[in-house]
Amino acid sequence: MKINRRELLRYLGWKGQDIDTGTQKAIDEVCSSCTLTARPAHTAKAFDYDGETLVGTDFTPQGNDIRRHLEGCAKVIVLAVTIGVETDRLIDRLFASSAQKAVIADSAASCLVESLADDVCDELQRKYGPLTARFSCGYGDFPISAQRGICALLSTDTRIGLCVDAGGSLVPRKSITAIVGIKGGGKPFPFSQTDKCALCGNKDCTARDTESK
Amino acid sequence: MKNFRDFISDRIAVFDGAMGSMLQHMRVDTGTLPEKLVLSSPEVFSDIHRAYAAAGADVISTATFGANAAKAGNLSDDIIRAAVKLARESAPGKYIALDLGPTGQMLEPLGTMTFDEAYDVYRRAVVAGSKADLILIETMSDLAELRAALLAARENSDLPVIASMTFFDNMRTFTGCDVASFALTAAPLADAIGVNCSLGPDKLLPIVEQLTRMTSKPVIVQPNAGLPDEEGNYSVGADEFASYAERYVDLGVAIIGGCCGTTPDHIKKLRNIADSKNRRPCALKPFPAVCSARRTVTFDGVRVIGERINPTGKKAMKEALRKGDFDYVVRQAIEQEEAGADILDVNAGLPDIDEKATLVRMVELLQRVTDLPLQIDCTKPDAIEAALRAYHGKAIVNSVSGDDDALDTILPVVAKYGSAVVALCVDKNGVPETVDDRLRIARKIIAAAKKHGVPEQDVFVDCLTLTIGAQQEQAVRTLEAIRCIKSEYDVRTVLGVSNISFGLPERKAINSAFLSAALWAGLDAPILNPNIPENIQAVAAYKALCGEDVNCALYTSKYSAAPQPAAAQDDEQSLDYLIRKGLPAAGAKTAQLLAAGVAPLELVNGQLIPALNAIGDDYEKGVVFLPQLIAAADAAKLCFDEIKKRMPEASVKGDTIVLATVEGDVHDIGKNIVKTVLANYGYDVVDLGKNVRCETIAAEVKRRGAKLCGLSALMTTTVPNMQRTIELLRRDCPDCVIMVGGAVLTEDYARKIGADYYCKDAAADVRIAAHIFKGETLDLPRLRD
Repeated sequence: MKINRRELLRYLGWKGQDIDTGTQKAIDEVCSSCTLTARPAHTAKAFDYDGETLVGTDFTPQGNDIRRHLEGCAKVIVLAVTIGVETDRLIDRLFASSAQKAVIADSAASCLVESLADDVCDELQRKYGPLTARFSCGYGDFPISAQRGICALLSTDTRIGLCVDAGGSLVPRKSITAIVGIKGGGKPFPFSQTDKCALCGNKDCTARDTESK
Repeated sequence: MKNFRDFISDRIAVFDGAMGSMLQHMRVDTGTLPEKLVLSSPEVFSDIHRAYAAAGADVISTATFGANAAKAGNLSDDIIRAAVKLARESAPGKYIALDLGPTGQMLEPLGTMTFDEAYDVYRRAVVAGSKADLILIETMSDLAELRAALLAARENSDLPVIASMTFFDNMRTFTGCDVASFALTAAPLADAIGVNCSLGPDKLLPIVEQLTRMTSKPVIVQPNAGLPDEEGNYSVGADEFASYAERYVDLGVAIIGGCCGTTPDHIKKLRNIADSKNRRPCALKPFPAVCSARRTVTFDGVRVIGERINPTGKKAMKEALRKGDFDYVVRQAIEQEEAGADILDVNAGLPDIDEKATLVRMVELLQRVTDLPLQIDCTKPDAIEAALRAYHGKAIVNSVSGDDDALDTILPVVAKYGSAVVALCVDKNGVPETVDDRLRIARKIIAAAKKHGVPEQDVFVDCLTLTIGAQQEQAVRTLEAIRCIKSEYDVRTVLGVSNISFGLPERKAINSAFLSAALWAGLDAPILNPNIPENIQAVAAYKALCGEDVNCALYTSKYSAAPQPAAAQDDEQSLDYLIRKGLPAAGAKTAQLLAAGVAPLELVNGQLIPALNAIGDDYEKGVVFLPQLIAAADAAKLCFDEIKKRMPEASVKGDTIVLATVEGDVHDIGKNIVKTVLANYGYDVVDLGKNVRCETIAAEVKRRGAKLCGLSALMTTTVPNMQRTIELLRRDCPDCVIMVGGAVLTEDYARKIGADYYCKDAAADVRIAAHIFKGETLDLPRLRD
């Protein structure tokens, strides 16, 4: 788990501007305190999948996009990762003293949890063979409300301290749940590829890394 | 059957083992709510109950771990009632424990669930499960949630209650709660406390060892059978499990049982241990301490209580509390913590505000940003109780006097929540002038405290500082009273120090000297301003002299560091440059310009605003990026702080803008950025926080007559609450302009939910505000007529 600096700058809206020494110093300092504060934890479970429901459960991932994403997979893995509540506290506390550092910390923590999820998927891929990309609630028409079912399936509250609010928000804030399909063959997914924008087809996206092809 | 409280008074009791992993082992499909099976396939659970009863468990836990209303919704009551009945029928003659697990939601301020909502979830469960013999609250990670469950159990049932949390290798729960804080906070509300789940029996040992030394209540331990592998198999067999259980019993543990991965075989071994061993006496080593949910402060030396969060005689704090500017309160907390405070006093005593509501709000917010324990500074019983309910730890209540009325109304509250209390040596006759009178009142309060169940070690006697300018002889009497009370009782002493020098010049010298003398007389907890270096120096010097600071290590490390050289060249730059570069020297530069005679308003309109506009333009053009824009805002804020110091209160008052992140949403980064930026344009920005109820936003906008309100939401699921808020605002505050922003919003979406403006970034908010309040032209489309 690490902070990909390029990704961090992209989250902060960087488009190649000069980075003065003060800003650079703040970024370095915040990255190191975010890394120290993070308490990474994860949990994952494999299920048979019949194209609709996770077999042996009452959980059916809703929406056409997730169904399309998992097409052809006889098994799927449901996973959840978090870097813990201390990071939420760090960001809240920083806002009282330096909004700049709080803004950087918020993005740095996002980088960390994304990287953690990638590490976990890499590990799962080594064990289960080629996987699809991660697909999370809120992507396409896969509703946020599915968070509750996912967290209940994995007992994330008692296993990794990850809760879901009534509205579907994950707490700690810097957490990810996702479903990946086990493809049963083909090419492994490049979870650790550093240039995320290159994996995405939306060339008009305002947040796109300017150097991505 | 004996009451369970009596049953565990002198023996070792055995609980049953796992439920979930047994189901998994039996290959039962459980899905998202295993407890539903209680209604559809009850035989599965009765088989498990019978097996544990046959193995020799004294207590059978109901299949209700996840059956609370937050997880099981409308099925909750039916499942719980059926599960208690099922357990009773399956295991006649055994104690039946109503098993309550976490809600799966995080309480405020980290999450959105309120204390009252959590309380209600557990209240329902306790009522539905009233036919059980005891209540087991287990696998809890969050002390806030545990307290809600404990209070719900206590206030809605007479059954014995057990509180068990789940800890990890770092000796903390997921939310950072440590063993001592758990013991101090939960023990007063529970009949037994302990640990379960998460770790195998070996790794739980050090946690159990610590816990048994920290409580007089019976201790329960229910470990997992080791850690599961990826297929869900557990590795610790019954014999190995039992060998650790023997060690727990030797440490003084009263109740043993099993969590995930344990089977009737494990429980059978525990039965043998319970039958062959005697219960060890309680291993408690009493320690005077208070705590937050994540930090325990033990009074084995001098501990500083920071006094700054108190409006008395503090213009800025008064103004902040009246305005509801809790950012100022939070900054005061962090400043005091960094300056060396161990505990923070919290006071909301202003005649023209709602003291109870303000106190509760401060307690909630302070817990979010600081781990320091709090001292609730209030003498109104209902406000004290409300604050203690909101506080997730063991607080100090400041204070109770020697008046019978005060003793009878405040001490029961202190006892109920297991708090400590300041015994103020005054009574209806006023401030005592002699040592004997002080002691007489102190003795009376200590005796009354004991009668109400507050032990001596939780009483902090305040022998009162009087002003030597008026009553010079009193200084010596205060010190003598401290000496006497410390030799007579096992109490702590507190003392507000600075009053001693009132009306005199060079107050710091008198304060330091008096503080040192009081510490030598036996003062444990001075209440002072830690931001004054001389105060902290006097405490540090005392600790070095008396030997508390071994080898003067802390003193040396604190005071031998070379002072930071000032960034000299920054001072020579223009204010415009310092702000645009986001340099902290902007504050000092402002002070310098003001001292040189530049008028405050001229500085704001002539230098600050143009600099902010310039950096805002640079941001829009992509010349600078977000952290640079925010750094400039941070620097400008320092300038405004300087300017405010020199302007009369009324003239700083700007146009009011209310901001909030809507109900259900805890993602407030965007709103916080907007607040930081807008505040620098001289607006009176009222930040209502995150997860703010729709009705609250409308009411606050109305009350303040705000002409502009900004709402943020990150989640698609919370946008309906934004729409509802807008509807309420339209109804109650038709003149208020509403701007919205947040990751899920687009201009179209903003139009659909009835907003006036959509803000793609903080710069847009600034332009909208300038349009509304200053009539500047706006190049953003208005979304409704």
